[in-house]
Amino acid sequence: ALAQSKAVFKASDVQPPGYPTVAATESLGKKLAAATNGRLTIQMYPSAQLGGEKETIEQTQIGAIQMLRVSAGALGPIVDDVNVVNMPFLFKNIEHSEKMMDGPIGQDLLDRISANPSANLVALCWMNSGARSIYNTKKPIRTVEDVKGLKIRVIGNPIFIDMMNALGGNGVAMGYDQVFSALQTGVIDGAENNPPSYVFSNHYTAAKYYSLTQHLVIPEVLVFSKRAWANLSTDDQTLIKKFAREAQMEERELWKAYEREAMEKAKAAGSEIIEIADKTPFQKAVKPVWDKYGPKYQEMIKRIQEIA
Amino acid sequence: MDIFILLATMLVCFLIGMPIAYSLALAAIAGALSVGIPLEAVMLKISDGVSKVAMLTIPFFVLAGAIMAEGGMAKRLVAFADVLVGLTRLRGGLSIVNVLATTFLSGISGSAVADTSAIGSVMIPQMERNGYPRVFATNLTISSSVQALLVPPSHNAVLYSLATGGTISISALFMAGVFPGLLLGFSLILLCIVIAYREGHPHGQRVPAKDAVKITIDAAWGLVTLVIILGGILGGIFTAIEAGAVACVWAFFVTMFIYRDYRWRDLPLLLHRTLRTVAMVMTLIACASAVGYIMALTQMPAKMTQFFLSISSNKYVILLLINVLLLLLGTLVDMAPSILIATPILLPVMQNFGVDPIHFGMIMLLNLGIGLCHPPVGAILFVGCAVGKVSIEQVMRKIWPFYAVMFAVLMAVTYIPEISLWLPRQILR
Amino acid sequence: MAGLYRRAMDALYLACVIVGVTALVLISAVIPYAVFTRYVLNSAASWPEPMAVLLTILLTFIGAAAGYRLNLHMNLAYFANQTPPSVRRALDILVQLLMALIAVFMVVWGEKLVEVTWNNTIGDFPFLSVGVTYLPIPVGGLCLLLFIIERLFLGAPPDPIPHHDTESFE
Ligand code: NA
Ligand code: NA
Repeated sequence: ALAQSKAVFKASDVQPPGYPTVAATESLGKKLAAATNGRLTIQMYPSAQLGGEKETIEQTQIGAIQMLRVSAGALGPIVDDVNVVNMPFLFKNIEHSEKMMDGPIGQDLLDRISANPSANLVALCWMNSGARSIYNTKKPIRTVEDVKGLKIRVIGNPIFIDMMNALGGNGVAMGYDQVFSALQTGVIDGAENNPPSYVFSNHYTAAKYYSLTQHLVIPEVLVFSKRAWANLSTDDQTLIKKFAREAQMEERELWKAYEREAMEKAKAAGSEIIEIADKTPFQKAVKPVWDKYGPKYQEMIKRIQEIA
Repeated sequence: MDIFILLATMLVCFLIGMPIAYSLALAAIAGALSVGIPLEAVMLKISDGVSKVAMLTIPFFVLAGAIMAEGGMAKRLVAFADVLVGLTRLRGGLSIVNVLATTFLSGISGSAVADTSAIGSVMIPQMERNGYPRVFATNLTISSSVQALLVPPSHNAVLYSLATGGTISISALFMAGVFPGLLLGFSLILLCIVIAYREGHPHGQRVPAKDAVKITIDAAWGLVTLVIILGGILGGIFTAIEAGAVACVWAFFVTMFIYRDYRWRDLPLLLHRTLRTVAMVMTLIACASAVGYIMALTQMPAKMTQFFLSISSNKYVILLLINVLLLLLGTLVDMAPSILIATPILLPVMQNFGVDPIHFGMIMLLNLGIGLCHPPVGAILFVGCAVGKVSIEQVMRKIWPFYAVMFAVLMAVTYIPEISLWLPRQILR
Repeated sequence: MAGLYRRAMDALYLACVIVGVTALVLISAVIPYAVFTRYVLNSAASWPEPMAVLLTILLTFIGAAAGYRLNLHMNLAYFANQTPPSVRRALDILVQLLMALIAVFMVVWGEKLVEVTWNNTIGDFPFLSVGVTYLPIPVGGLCLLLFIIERLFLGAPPDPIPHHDTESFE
């Protein structure tokens, strides 16, 4: 009877319909419905309809939401091992991070989330969210000296404040919903995010200099509520895991197209996209951050750096 | 079906006189049980509703407003308005002083009720001494206080921003409120002049130059608060939240060290009162966010849009219909819960019809503000009558011209979006 | 016994007000401090905002319980007031019982929520548990329950503050 139970999984994402992670999760749902003759389906709640990242994680832990796409950064406070992705310049480039996600280290990290007894989550797969770069209203940032004195909004977490301060800027923690008007009025000089967020949150209309510092690559994770997972038959679990892996690859292609579209839109609107010729000075500048936060994750950092 | 259980629970609880906040909580619990959501999620949402940074504006502006209203800043703004209006020597001068002083106070306070009691306690006796009917003075104080809801800072604009899920910035809403607020003030001044000539109200008196200088300097300390809030936000020095906090500190400094007419030993009482007001409103927000959550789960907003589309596909018809709906809601329910209940349901409808959310916010604030001026639930009306020492019946018999002006302004704000949207567009390019 | 319970509730009310007012004052102090660090020390402190938010949660749930004791919450008294006195009394008891039900929900499911999130930490304060931030729900619920019992059996006490206008928000 357990194997045949009918279920509608509530799936949540903070991004709007059409966003790569949303589209990939919906596609997962369609495959699941087809494979089970409509016994297992997904009801998608995009655009943070059910709440922001922190609160939807908690709803997933409780079992109010079954499936959730969330940034790995937001899982760090629950499963400490995941915090390794918060290290600035951990990945040499996007390809490096993709190798990590697709390989044994990626699986190991997902397993550590699922195995954590108090997390109440089952991690299904990774998804891409590109690299975060700095944009600002004042001037093109080409060298690390250019960051000096700029008030840059970062995610509210001590490591990111320290990172921005180490780069010579002034890291300001601020809620994401306030960033746009803070850029417009000049309360902050800039922020840092991936190209789609820079463009589709309209920040590009206020801050026209986007410098490809690519200082952080923080991937996304698709998680399932452990309470709901325990009620599924092994066959259903296997099926969901298989489609999740396919979603990981599907989202990657969607992501790249999405990022291209964002970049073209920004360029057409007159944004200046600045390539950083030499990132080494930036990497050197954040050494104090590595000294302060790195030792705890030494083993994982070493394994990630060894990926060819 | 699920949503029916939620709405029915809410309605029954309202009708038997249960506090609105807890009626919402119980409705959310009933809804969660029928949707099959663990009840921890309701508790989570209740806490989540108040754990937003934008929420901090509420305690700040309530506290700053209380310090200023009780600490004699209102009195000085009235004196300053008197200096300005006295220069014109217009008939009905004191009526204009009443409106203008309220405009000033509205620029530093977010509460219409606080404006009514602060301005009313100074202006109504003064107007009566100068030959104005007490009922007229009370009516004028009540209706001009609605400016406080529009002119920044506005607590209720913050509530609206929260009710939109933080998608609309508080700064943009603050800017949008400037012209609708001024338009209301200006229209009331015109009404005052018309009535003054018809009923023979006295002329305004010029204030002697020596006094005028002293009064202006005295009032300037208070007006700096207005500069901190408006200038600070427009000039990009503060976020709306920080502006509230700095205004609080400034109001405290001016009241305790410059004006020095507030006693230190009254301060704990002021904090005690502020705590109660803030906690009441926060609880309301908390519980409304749980209801909003269940509504989102049942995809109520989308269904609502479908419903309105089935009535008419004409934007102007729907706007009128929603105005009538809001006026009815404002008759029975206080402003804060009305905003929190109506926004998540109506905003998606309005957006579907191409109405800018900032513009809709202004329509809602003004509309529900009018609701505060009439019974059976009308906070400004009640406070105005208490301060003016007149009965509600007396006031209601003579309030119609004021309603007419407020309604005309509501129609202008509804059908001319530029009144609301021009300023934010200029500043937030 | 009745007198003792009333005095205990007076003490509880005072404790709630002291906690709430302290939170209010702290909130009003830490945000200006954040502005100060950004402009004067030229290095923005990140802790004031999240800390103010945590204090707001505390202020809300503790303050709400205290407000309920004195019947300060906004309600729609209009319809209940149209009914004859005997019906009105019955409705009032019904309201108290429903309120008690909510308070029990807050205590039981609030506590469950605290449990589930006990091992989550907060991004801004890695040393603080998320569960702690949800503690004001069961604690506030318990205070609420105690005040409801007082109102059911002893009635609402006189307000210690004269002429408080609860609608001063609008
Ligand atoms: Na105002
Ligand atoms: Na009303």
